[in-house]
Amino acid sequence: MRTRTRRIDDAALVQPGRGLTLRTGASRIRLVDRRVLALGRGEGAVIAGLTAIGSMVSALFVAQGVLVARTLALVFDGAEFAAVVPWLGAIVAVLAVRSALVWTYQTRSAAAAGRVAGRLRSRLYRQVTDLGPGWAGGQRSGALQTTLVDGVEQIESYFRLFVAQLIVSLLTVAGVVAALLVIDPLIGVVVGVLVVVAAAGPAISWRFLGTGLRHWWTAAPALSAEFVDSMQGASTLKIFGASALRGEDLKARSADVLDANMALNRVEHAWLQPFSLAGAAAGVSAIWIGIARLDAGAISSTSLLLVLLLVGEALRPVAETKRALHFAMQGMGAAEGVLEILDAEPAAREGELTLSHGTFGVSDGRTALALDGVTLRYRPGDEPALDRCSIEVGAGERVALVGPSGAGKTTVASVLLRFFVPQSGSVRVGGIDVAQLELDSLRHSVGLVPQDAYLFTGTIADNLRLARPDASEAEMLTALEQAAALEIIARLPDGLASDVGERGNRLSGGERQRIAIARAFLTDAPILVLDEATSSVDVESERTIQAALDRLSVGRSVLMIAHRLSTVRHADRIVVLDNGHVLDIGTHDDLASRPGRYRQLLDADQADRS
Amino acid sequence: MKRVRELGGRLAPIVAITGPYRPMFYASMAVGMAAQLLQIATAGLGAWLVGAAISGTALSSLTPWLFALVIVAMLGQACSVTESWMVHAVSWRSLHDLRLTLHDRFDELGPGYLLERRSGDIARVVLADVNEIENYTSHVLPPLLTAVVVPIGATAAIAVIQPVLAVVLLPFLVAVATVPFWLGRHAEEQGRRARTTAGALGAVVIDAVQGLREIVAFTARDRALRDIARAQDATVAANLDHARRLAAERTVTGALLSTGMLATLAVGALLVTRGALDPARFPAAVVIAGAAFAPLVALTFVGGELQRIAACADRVWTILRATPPVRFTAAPEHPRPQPVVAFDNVTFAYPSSDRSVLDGISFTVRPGETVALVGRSGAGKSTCAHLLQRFWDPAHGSISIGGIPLAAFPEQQLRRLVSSVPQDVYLFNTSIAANIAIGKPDATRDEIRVAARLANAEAFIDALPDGFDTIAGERAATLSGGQRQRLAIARALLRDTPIVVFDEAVSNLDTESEAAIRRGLAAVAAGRTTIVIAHRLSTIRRADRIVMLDAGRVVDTGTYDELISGDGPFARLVQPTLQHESDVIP
Repeated sequence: MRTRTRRIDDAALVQPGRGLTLRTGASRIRLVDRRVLALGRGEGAVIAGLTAIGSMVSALFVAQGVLVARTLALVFDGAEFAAVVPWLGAIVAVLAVRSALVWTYQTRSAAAAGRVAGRLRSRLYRQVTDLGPGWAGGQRSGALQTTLVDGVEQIESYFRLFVAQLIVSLLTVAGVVAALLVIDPLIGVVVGVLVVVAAAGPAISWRFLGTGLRHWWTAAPALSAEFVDSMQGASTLKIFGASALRGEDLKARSADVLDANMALNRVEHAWLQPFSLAGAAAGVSAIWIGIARLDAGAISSTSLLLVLLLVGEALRPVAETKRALHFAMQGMGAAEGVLEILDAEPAAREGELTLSHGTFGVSDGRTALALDGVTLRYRPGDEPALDRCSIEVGAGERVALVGPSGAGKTTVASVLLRFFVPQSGSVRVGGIDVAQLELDSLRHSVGLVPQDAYLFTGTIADNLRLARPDASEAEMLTALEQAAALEIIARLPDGLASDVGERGNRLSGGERQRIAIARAFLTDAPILVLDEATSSVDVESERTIQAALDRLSVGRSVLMIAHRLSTVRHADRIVVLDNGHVLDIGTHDDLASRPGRYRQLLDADQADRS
Repeated sequence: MKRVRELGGRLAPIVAITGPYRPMFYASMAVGMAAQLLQIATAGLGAWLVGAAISGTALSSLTPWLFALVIVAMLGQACSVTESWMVHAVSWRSLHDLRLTLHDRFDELGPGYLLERRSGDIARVVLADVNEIENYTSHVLPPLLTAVVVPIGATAAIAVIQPVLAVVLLPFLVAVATVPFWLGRHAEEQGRRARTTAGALGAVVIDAVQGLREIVAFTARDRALRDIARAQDATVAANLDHARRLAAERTVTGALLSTGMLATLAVGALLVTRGALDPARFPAAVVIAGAAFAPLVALTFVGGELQRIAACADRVWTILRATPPVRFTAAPEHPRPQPVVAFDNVTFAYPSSDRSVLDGISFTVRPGETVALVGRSGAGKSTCAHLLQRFWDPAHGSISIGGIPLAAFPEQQLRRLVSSVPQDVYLFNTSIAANIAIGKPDATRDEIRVAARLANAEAFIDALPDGFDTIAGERAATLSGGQRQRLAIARALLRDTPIVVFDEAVSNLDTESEAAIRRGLAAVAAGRTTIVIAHRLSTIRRADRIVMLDAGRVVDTGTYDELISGDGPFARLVQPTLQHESDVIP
């Protein structure tokens, strides 16, 4: 059910401007969200360790301030240079330790974030396989890939650059303000209040951006989609003389985004202005109050020097957090996609029963698979893709499904493999309702040869071992021979070890099809679902493939999805499907001899070719 | 240094995109510089006030200076926020302009340019690249400027306090500024490795997602997870190397900054005890030395960014500077040319290769006639179709419509004369109706419906969830290749050009689609001059005449009956197909 459209996913393209951190504003997720933090589960100890190191770094910055203040005070008191030297030595020691800690912090945080990303990606992929191809097909194309590739990276940045930084910053501000309170309560209170105000600015300014953000959130994806669409379709636009008109559209969309950006820019900076002034005011008022207190004899000159040097340390974390916020915003944006996947409920639940291949005695005439009154809607409210559909394939029987495109043929295969779970009716394999089967067991028993077989980047052997991980070279060669695919590896330089290229693009459509058949030989499943290829296959290989499929079908129960009438004549029975309904069932001779949809299709085919 | 200059050369044109907003851009830089200098002044003034107070200056005589401190500090902050606002305003406006310029450019470059590249990739890349340029003007350039301005300003301020201290600081300044260069020697290689492993990881994940059906059907999840984990480990290892170097850079930079401050403190203390420095000015020197070199740290952050942004800029410039393969005349339109297509001794090689694809081709298609172009893949059939639409110009020979060479037609007239039904149909992300009406935006719904009916597309469109209003490309409208081609036929019918090029699908379509398309083609060909790139015997039989190409030459021409009864190239080509009672010719 992969979509064949070429539309590019918007999410992959929308990159909000970095200064205007926009994602969070439109997101339901808060900046520090328990569900997002839970994604880093298992790294709690490491993050705590990092926080500890980070706090020590901050403490050493404060210590440096204290030592420098002490040194300056000594100099003001007229001390000899020799008396100053031990203090200078202490500063050197502080510097050395701090450098070592900074190094540790940087490298450890990179390693920890890498682990978070690795675990998250595995967890996500596990969930995606549980949700299955049916669910994946219903996602916007490209959205899953974006989440699993880029989204996870952004979460990594969130943990690497934001979480620990935020805690360290909070601790540092608290520590410095506490120190100032000890030196002089008034200075401590004033600086404390102003620093909190300055820090609150960026964190809350987006709350006031509401309408602007909503604007941006509709305008920007629309522009991305239209821009990519126009460029991809540039040739078509040109040929049909439609570029100019489309250009006007694009201009309007781009102007929408510009307007939204400019409005946000104004609002955001207008809001930031007072908060950032509060930051500047913190330093200035500390000095002013300090000088006044010194003048009044309330504090010592050492204390005033301490105030001068420590106020900067209280403001440093605010600036660092502001920088880190940018990564937090990106992480938040990504978190929505990630949580959406993790929260989705797999439609197909695991059963407990298993099937052994012995269940399907070809000779005893039992039913290999059966759909019984199956109705499936892809989404609630849709027209049913299958409507009270009943199909049976006896053990060892070969049944063909025919019907126009959109009749529901491929859906039957998806329901059988439990990629989709029907709303009503039952599907049985080997006489057992598939809902009661272990999914792995079901999928071991039903082999699939899809019409557009997917080959993975790697070698031919890698792709064959997908079907049977422990297959020996001899077994693989036998399977290839049966699939009429030996000539493919004979042609390739490294035989079984030849690289098939990205998505198997070094092989032709017919060759990929034959590799898929070889896989089915290796799986050796008693039930087969064959989705006939409609892709580019030349006449010669069409014949070879047909012969290979005939060999594959021997001794198995086969459901064949046929797109061309020429290939169904030899089926034991033919099921005619239209609009999700079974219209008729019978042999070719039966169906051809009586009026009906099959005869119509047959006649149309004949008439057309002559 | 050569690397730096080269990088600068690649980045310089970005400033050019600020175009008409350049004055505002420079103004924002000036405001930014003022903000930085005011911030140094704030730090220095504050420290000087503290020093003066401790030295015994009375509060009353300091008060005017305290007011000055407030003003300088507030002004500095105000400038900083204003700069950020201005620089973003310039960036957003420039981006808007750049997007429109790129669109016009794509249009100007036309299908010829795009056909030789993967336009989907280009589009995606360009859009991301354009956004990346905002990052440069708004977030990379300002810190770079700061990194230059602040240390110079700070050193000057310290020199005013006591020249010896400035001399002490200078070596540290130079050392910090050059850290990225002597520690960053492997940066490029590490960056490349990090990108390569990240790319490989992306590929593995995408493979596992796109091949999900196979992974699930073959219960191969553990294997997929193993592959992902392996690629992930490689990325983490590469990133760790990168992180270690970055950590080293930051550690060394941080240490140098503090040591510089320490040296100022030590030498300052010595100078005070020797009576060479007024103690009241001493704290100012220490504070400026401690804080003012911090912007240099930004250099370690932006180094890698610059490389990446330069690559983005390169891709954008490549498109902006590309030469269009053809230029259209601005001459007036020709009154009613006859729909006769004539290829006269046409020779052509694609711009990217030396090999001739067409080698002296001549044939004529008369008004209303349907000619099937036949030949193996690579024979030059599609090239003929492209040249007729003037995606490129032939190297020799000429193509004419109604006796007028193509180059003499203004573009819009040529587009109204020739339309095409391609194999690989692009559907826009709009309604099916809008997709059909792409060549006739003012078509009524009835006209669209009639065109769809003639193209045998009406029934399946009506079956879509929202009928003609269904958005193509969304889930409900995952159309098969055959259905897409029928939409393209409807497009061509509605466009109603006197000449149509029809590229028949090579792939096997389902029986129903094949029949429907054949009827659609008949509707298109009726009364029009039609060139069909044909792959099926049934299509070839229906053509008025056949032109067979081989290796860029016309090797056989005539009616089906004439050619099949002989022993020419055409008869030999279709012989195996006839023997196998098949339809598709190889």
